[in-house]
Amino acid sequence: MMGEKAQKLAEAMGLITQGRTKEFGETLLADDVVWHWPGTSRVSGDYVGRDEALRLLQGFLELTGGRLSVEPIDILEGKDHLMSFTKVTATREGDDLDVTMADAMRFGPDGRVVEYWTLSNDQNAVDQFIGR
Amino acid sequence: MAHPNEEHLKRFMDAYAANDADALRGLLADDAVWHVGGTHPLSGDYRGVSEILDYFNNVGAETKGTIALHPIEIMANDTRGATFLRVTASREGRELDVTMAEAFTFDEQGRIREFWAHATDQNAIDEFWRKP
Repeated sequence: MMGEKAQKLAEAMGLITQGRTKEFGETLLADDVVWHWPGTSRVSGDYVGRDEALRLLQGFLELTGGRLSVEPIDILEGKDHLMSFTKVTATREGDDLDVTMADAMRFGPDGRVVEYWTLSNDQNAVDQFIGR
Repeated sequence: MAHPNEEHLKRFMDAYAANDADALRGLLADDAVWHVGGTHPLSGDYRGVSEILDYFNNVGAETKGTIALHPIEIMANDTRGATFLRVTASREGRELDVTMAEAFTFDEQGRIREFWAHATDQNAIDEFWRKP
């Protein structure tokens, strides 16, 4: 059975697939969320606060828009944390991507994410795809 | 009741802290892959039990056994696992204190097949491992 945090994530992901980025942020992310994006790409770094986190997300979507296929694999939900595994692929001549992502989240007292880590099993491939 | 693979992750962390190579060997799949993020001298992919144990040994020697793992939450099912933990260590007069989100996959026997992670403060980790 899907827990509260997984339900919240599913609701938020539904919004983002409709392009409703702001509502995605308000649904899933606490005001003071910190989002850690690894690697050495042009979006890598730490983003503090919901506006900054949405700026990261918007930038990522613009850089990869329409090129990514994200297939859910699995969700692990604990007391305060959640990890969502997805297979992310993109096929474009000379620019292929095939990685497993693990989106790691810590939830705060209001049921929204206060800390977010985007983990990839091939960060170099992700960095190259996004661009350095 | 905790999933057996949660127990495997706990045993793994205990064996890692104790630098117990025999126990670690039993918890890793033969073809395991260990992705170490960041831009420091130990960053990269370690493939197979022997390379991974060499990496652990290297970490233990460089930190003179001071590395300590403090689990915050551990989650697992038959195929995947997640740990959230605080990692502390000292080296060359530098102190490390970061929170990590770590993703795992398991083989059918519950041995770790793949590992990847990201920290709250990757710069602190890169700086910690920088050559003196």
